[in-house]
Amino acid sequence: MSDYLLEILVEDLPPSHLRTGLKQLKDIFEKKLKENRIEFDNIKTEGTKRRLVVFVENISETQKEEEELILGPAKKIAFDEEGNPTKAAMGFAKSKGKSVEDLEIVETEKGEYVAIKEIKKGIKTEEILVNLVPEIISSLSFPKNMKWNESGVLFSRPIRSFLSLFDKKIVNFEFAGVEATNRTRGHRILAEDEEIIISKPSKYEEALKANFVILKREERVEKVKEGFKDIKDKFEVEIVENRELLDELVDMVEYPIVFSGTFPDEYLSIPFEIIEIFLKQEKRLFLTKKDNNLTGNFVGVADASEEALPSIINGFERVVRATLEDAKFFWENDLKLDLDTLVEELKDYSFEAKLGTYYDKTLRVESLCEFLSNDKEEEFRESVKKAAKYSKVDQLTEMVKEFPVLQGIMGGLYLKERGEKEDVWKAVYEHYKPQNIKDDTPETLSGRILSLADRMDSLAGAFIAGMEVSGDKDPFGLRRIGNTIVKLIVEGNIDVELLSLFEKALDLYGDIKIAKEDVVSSFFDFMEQRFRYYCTEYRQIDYDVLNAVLKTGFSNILVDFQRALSVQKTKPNENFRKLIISYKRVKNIVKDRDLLFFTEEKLIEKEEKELFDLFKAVEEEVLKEVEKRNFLKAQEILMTLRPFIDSYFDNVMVMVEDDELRTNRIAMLQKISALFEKIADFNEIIV
Amino acid sequence: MNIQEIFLTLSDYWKSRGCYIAPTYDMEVGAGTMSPDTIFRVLGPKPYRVAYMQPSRRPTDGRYGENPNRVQKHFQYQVILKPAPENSQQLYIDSLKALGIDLKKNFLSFEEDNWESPTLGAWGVGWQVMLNGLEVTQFTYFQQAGSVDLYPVSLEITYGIERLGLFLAGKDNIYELEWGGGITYKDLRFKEEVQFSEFNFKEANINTLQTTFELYEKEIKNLIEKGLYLPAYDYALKLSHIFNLLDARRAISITQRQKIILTIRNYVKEIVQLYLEDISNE
Repeated sequence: MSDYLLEILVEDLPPSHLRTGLKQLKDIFEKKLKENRIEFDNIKTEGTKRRLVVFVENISETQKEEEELILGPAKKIAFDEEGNPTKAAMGFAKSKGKSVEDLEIVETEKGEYVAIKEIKKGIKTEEILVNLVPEIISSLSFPKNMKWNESGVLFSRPIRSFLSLFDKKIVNFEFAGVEATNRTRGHRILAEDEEIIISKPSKYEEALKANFVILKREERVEKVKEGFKDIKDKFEVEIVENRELLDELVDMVEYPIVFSGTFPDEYLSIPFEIIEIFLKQEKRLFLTKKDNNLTGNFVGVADASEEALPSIINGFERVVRATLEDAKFFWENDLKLDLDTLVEELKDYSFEAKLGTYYDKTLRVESLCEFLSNDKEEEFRESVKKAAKYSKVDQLTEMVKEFPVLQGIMGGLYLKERGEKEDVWKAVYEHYKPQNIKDDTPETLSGRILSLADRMDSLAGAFIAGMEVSGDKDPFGLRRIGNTIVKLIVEGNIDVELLSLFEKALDLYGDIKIAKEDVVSSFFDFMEQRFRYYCTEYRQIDYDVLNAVLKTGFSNILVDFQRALSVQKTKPNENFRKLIISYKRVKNIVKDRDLLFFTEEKLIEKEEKELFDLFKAVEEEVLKEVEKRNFLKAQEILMTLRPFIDSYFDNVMVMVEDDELRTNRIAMLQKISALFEKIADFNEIIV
Repeated sequence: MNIQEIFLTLSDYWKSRGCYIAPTYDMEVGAGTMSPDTIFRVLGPKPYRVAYMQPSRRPTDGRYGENPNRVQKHFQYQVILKPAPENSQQLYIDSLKALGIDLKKNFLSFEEDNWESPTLGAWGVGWQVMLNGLEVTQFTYFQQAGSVDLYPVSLEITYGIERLGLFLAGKDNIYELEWGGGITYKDLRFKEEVQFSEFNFKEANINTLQTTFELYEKEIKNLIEKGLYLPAYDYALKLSHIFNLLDARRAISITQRQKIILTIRNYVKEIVQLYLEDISNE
């Protein structure tokens, strides 16, 4: 058994490219080696910003032999009626250097054929790798590719060398104008890009380490974490955790070292959100806190040695100060802006082609907020309207132009500075939440209403403009808007008829010049899909439960969700399952029938009278609970009907000859069914 | 090392790597890339190496001379190597060494940054090069210019002269930098920054800018029709600068912005086509 090592040495890869590159390498190597019948114990990948590395452990020297079946003529041609071989059979056997006795009969799609088994000897693994490795490398794809030399090859960043070792031997190949070698290079700065000859795969990692390259990601993470710990102890601060940033940083260094610096306290007066954006996003630094307050200490990760620390700290302190100076400039300058003037300026900013300006949008969202809060206190309603009015002004501030991720947040902070109430400023601050179904919804009710109104307006506009979602295409992110609308309504406890809300949103666009019914119908189809997505993906509600609920209507997302949730919760209950089975008998009879007239007087059998008596009592209670949206309780009450339904079916014949009697019995079952369907069509539940 | 020593050292360094040291282009441009020495020369098959200093104007970056490192006019040192050499990164690192930077005592990093100029229909893949967290260079493998795929691929290295100056002098404020001959950056540039900030943000007459834009557009159309792509390109640069001024005056809406960018890009595309036609006859 041998080992195979491949290192693709490249110019600095972006962290996301490194991650996808390594994942693809592992998957494709595994697949291709198997396809080529090359055995191995394990495939490991590791990498740094400069190298993509694959290590195949205990790879077999040669391909596994393979039995190959070579098809000859059809059986009826190869053998005559007495079963003797024909000339065709003999010719086929001879052409393969075999005799007729070697022929076998195999079953194929086209019928029986004669065939010959041949043992194919395995080729040497090295010989296969020569072609396989460049093929694998060329199949890698990255979020963005580039060309750099006359080979015209597309790759994430320029490829500068290959180290390709099968034990001690080079597996030769050429790709993108670069030849495979037994060499690599050390750290570009710390080892001066020194060329290193690797004698065999097992020597690779330590040779790199001697040249200031820590190949294993996990080891780099450890080194960074140790560095963090030293800083925590030394300055008695907590480092504000940021997994994403840490993940990115360890992929940007070959020889990590942690450093820490400080910025003057005067910048601590800038809101935390802004400092965070400027230092984290722009400079990839961690912030620190003491007693839950931000401190002037920041922490970073560099690709350097100890001797560089003084200049690194000094340099970063300067850069941070300059950056915060900029942040302060933006913040203080934007604070001087008059928000009311900005509202007017929104008239010049188009929201989407054909859908008016941001000013128009603001007016529409204001009306929608009013609509959504009309059952609330006057003071609250005014706050939400005000929040809507100023919700988009921060689009015009320098800060948001420079850092679009701060949209909403900045608007909120400016309003807060102006002394607005929390219902106003915080609503604006959080109205871009939730970003997706996993994100939190706004904490304030005013924020949730504003967020919903804003999205509903965008969605209505999109449907008017004929923007479409199809297959995997969703250029305007409509699915995300739809998903988050469902989330806001459900988790924000917003009780609204979807149709009236959507019609209100449509009407606010004025004369839309397209058939309203069509827009409404495609909107409902779309939202039903979004509702299903939210319920199944995020709330673990089963498909059959959703089918049952949606069969009886989709009109108020909050109520429809509550129905689904209670059915889901009750579903495992044994009595409930029995009820469903009983109900299926009812449904079997009533489905697809017009509503029939029922008279109690026509009930004659004991069991039908009993069932109906109980039903009357149950109906009243169930309706009361449904009215209160207490669907769990309603289901419990329905369960009391179960034995009576069963005994009814066991003793009473519904489909009797007598027209009048039959009609009346069906009519009673229709009444019972209608009551069940106040919650869901339980016939859809799979038991 | 003062400012003039920086660009003279870089010129020396790149001269000895076969570059032609071009004179600064005499137009208002937003970046060294916009000079005809880059935008035309990266097109077509001919190998080419050039380096030059280019003052670059970004009206919205004006800070009335109050910000220690943001200015509405700064200096770029631009290098084009066509085709991109195999040891691109090493060549660059050696240029930093030539400036006397001990890289083992500092933290050099190449961070993903894919450069794009929508008005030029140009983009590339590469990095911003950081020295102790300070962006000192933009390092790009040019993929497209004038909306045309480039072959061979050129390497573009754009040094920020002021940034290098700050780094080398260990200072925080560019106005404190020494240019050379006993003159500071402040002596040379402070009043200019104050006055141009005033102009960019307050005094530039929006009507005049809009009217000039329209007049220059007519000029370009005529020049393109006559096949005079070099003067046509100068006018495209003028449009680009007017656009930046209008932006500083907050006179452009989001939709207008898209429209103007598209307009200029289309002119540049036509201009580049004329150039390619011209050189194909050589």
